[in-house]
Amino acid sequence: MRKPFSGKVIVRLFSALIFSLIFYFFFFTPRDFPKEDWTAIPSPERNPITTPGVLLGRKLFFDPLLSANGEVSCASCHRQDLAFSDGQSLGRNGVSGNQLLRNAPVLVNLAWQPAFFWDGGARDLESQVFSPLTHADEMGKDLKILIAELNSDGEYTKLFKKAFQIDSISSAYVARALAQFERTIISFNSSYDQFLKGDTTLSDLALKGLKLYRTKCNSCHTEGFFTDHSYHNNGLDSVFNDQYLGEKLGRFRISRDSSDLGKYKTPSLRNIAFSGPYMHDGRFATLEEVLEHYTTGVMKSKTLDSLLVQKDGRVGIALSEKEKKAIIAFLESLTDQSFLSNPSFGEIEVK
Amino acid sequence: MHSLFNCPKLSFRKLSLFSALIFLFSCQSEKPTREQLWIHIYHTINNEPLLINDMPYENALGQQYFVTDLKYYISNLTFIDNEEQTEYTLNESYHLVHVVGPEEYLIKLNDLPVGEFDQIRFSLGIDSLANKNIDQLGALDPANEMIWDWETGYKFLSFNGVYFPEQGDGKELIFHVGKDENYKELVFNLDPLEVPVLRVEEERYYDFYLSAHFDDLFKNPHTINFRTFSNTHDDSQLMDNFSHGVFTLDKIEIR
Repeated sequence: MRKPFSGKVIVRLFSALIFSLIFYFFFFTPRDFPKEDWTAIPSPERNPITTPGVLLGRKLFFDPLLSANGEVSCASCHRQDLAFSDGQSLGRNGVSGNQLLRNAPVLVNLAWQPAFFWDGGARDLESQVFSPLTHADEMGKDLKILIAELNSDGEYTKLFKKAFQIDSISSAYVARALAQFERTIISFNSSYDQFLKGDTTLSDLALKGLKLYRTKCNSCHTEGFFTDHSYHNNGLDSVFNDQYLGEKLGRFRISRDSSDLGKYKTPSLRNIAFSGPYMHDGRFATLEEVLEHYTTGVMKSKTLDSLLVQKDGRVGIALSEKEKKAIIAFLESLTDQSFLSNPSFGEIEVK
Repeated sequence: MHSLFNCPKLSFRKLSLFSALIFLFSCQSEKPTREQLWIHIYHTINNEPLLINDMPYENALGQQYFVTDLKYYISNLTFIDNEEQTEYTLNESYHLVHVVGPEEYLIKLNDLPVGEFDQIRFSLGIDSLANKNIDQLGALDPANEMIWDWETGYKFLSFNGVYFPEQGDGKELIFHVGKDENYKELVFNLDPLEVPVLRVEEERYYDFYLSAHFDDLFKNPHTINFRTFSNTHDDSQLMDNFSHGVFTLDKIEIR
């Protein structure tokens, strides 16, 4: 009887193995997924950023399959050319066409943001995803239907397997992929940043604006992220009533602490010239209107931020017309052209 | 396996011996016919089986109501040995109970700890660690519709119903309760049962029989008046009631 493992068989097997390895790496190396270093971006332990995950999230971000009527994607209300906002005070781009109750927030430097929504109700990006995805006036998608559709789509099952090593897609992974992509939406290359590095100069007006900014605005819109990641009542209203499921109550809706009535998250001012209208309800169309509010429009209430009350008891921030112009010139230097047109945030075909 | 099939001269005798071995081996490691522990939960209102969209029930104030949908979480099943002062919590122990009819609800579990135990504990709701984010799997999958998306966290109890006042139209009852401070642990002494000390061994099967008396949800210890209280998303009174008299451990069977 011949030995089952004769030298000839072993040689044959070995060469077959080598050949298949070469074949595999030549034809199946995922060359469309360049290795990138994502370690500089913070992410939760359960959802580390990987290139396949980011690309999958990016595909999902632009896919109207994620909506009830197949017409609305995340990008419908978060447009890159508008710093990932929607250009409307209160949007109507959802599946119902009903007007939303809050202004679509910009998506920028989210990996460093501790809470999401204007009242900070969502504790992380992964958990945040489910709200716009399922809300009847946003994407209105039934998660069970979405998961069935994704699992019957050969392309998506392949991409989810590549990104998460799973054979069956569940809603958690949809959220994780989207969160991975969103964490890569980063803007730190505005004229202001280049100026700090000594790579460019700012106009005299903008420089004057920067000086003013540092004394009048910086305590809440703190340089760096241009937000203190906290909640403030900036005097938009004097009374807060609880129609609309508490959306008009500010941070109180989450904390149930009456000292949080009318407080909203400080938005980042990066790319502010492109992200209007402004405030949680989009009530101001222009930056001029915003500064006019801070000088003459601030309304008193119990929770009004103390920084908006001057020593003599008057409310608001004292700014001359010239100073306002200078501050706006500075705010325009926070525009990051390479961010607004960065091709790696655009719609893609991933296969 | 690969080399086995690549070898053309493998004898039939060897193959049959091999398959006989596989057969013997597979007989030995045959999976049990059922899980090691079944928890049977019988849901009742006023000592009648709880029916969905059917019976009008009466609360302690004589107010009539229907149950239209009822879901809740049981979690972190723990076996306690007070003598040795040890306890063992099952891994990933989150179970969504969805009451759809008068039949018992079954939770099926494996990997019980071996030992002798005199108390059983489980929790109502989701512990604060698991309640921090909602991108989770299984019982905690957001597709189960037990999440709050605008304020991250799980609904521990979702009771939907209709209250019929003596005059006027029916009024929806929406009791969705969650939040970390409402997470409740229930401890059951095995003393009063036939098995005051539960000996858990491998290769044995256990049945726990629980009753959930949902009339207590609205009366014990806090009386809930549907006329003034019909909608909540974080009510400590309801969760007090839910963790107070609703559940009883009636019987443990061992096979």
